[in-house]
Amino acid sequence: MAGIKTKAPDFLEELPHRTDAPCPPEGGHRQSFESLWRYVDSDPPTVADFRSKAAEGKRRHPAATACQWASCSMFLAKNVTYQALPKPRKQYKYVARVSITPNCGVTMLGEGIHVNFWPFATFVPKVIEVVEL
Amino acid sequence: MTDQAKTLPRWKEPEAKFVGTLVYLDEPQVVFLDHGADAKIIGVAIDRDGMDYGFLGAEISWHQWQRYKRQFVDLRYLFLLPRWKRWYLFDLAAMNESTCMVPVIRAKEDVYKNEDYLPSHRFFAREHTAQIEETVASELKTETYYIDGAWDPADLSLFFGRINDLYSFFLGLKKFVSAQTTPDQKRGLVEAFTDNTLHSGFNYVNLFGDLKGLVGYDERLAMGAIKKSSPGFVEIAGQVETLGEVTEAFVNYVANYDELKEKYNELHSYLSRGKLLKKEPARFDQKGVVAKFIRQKGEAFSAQLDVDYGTLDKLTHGDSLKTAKILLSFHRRLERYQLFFTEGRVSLDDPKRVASSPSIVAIPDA
Repeated sequence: MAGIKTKAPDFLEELPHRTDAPCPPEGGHRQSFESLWRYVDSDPPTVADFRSKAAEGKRRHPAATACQWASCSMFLAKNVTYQALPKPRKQYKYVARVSITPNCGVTMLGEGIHVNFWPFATFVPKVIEVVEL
Repeated sequence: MTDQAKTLPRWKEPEAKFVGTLVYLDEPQVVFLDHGADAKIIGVAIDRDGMDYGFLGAEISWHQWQRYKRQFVDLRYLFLLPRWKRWYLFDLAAMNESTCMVPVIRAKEDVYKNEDYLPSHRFFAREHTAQIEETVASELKTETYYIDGAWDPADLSLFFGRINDLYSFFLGLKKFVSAQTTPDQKRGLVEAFTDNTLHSGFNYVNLFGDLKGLVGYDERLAMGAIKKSSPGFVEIAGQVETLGEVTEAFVNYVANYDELKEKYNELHSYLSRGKLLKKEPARFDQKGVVAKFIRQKGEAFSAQLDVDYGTLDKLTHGDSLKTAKILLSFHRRLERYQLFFTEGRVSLDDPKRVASSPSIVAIPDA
C-alpha cells in the first residue's frame, strides 16, 4: 500500500492491485478528522453505509478509476446541496457526521470538500449526528 | 428566436466527447462533454431502465458554461434553458475508454421535463468536487447568415459593421477579464471604454472603433464567402465563443424586446432630463444620489441585457454614468443589428433554397 508508512490493517473491501496505480493512492493517509460527513441510507448508519460501489458488485464506472470505485465519498463539511442532484436525492435519506481516526481507514483529500475513504476491516462508524435530508 | 437558435450549424454527430467529472459522490454525478463548436453537454446522473450509468444532458453554449462557473446561474437553470434547446440521454457505460466518445440520443420532452431527472435549484458550481481540463474555445468558427431581398455592397458593409460592433464589444469585455491580457492591453481597453465620453459625449461610435483597434488580427471578425443573390448567404468568421455571445445577445434582445426598450427609455430619459448625456465626466459627482440612482437603473438594464455589470463597472472605474452610456449604446447596436432581421433580409435559418444561384464571390478578410 504505497503512501502509507506503517503496516495497516486489512481493508474492509478487497482493493484493486496494480503496480502502476497503487490503491489507496500515494496521496492517501491514515489521519484523524474530528468530523466527516457521509450520505447514508439508515439511521443510525452502519458499516454497510460505507460500502463502495465496487463492494455492491457494480461494475466499474468508466469515468472512475478502479481505486476510486472501491472508495466511499465523504465530505469535510455538512453539505446537503448534493441532494439537489437526481441520483443522490433518490438514493440517500440522511447525512451523517462521523469521527474518523487513523484506525478507521485511509482517507485522501480531493478538490473542494470531497474526501475518498477506504475503511479498514475493523471500521465501526462513530456517529456524532445524523441529519434527515 | 428559439427557432433561429435551433438551426444554427452545430456538431450534429450522435456522440460527444467525455471531458471530465464535475461532481463525484460514490460515482460520477455531474459530468461535462464536448459536443463540437460552442456546444457543450452538462449531464446529471439518473436512474433509468436500460441504462447502467445513465445521464440526462443539456446542450449549452460556452458562454453559458462560463456563467455557470462564475455562479451567475445554477445547474437547474442550464437544464431549463440550455442555449441550444437540446437535451440528450447517454449511458457512460457505453463510453469508448480509449477515445472517450459517448453515444448520445436526443431526449424527448417527457424526459427532459421529468422532475425526477432534473437537478433542484440552488446547486452552484462551487459544489463541484473536481475541476476539468477545459479546451479554451479560441478556435475560429464560421457563422452563416442567410440573406434575401436587395443587397448592395454598402448594405453588406453595414451589416458586417453591425455584427462587428457587437463582436468587438464582447471580445473587449472578455479580454479585459482574461488573465492572458497584458496590463498594457487592459489599459487600452479601459481607455477605449472610458475616454470616449471626454470627446464624444453621448456618441459612443468611437468606443466601438477603438475596441476594434485593440483586437488582435487573429481574433478579428472576417467576412468569408458571400453568395449575393436572393436568397443568398454571408459567411462571417470569428472566435467561437464571442460569435456565440453575439447570437445569444441577439436572441435575448428579441425575447425581451419590450422590457429592454422600457428600461432603455427610462434610463435615457433620466439622463436626458438631467442633461447628463453630454455632461463633462469630471464634473459628475460619482458618489452622489444621482450616481446611485443611475447605477441602480444600469444594473437592472445590464441584467436584462445579459451583460456583466461588474466587468463594465471595473472598466469605467465605478463610474455609473459612463457605464449607463455604454449600456445604452450597446442596446442601440443590438437594435440596429436586429433591424436586418426584422426587415426579413437576414435570417439564421437555412431556408434550404440557397443552392440555385452560381454568383459566388469570395471576399478577402475585412
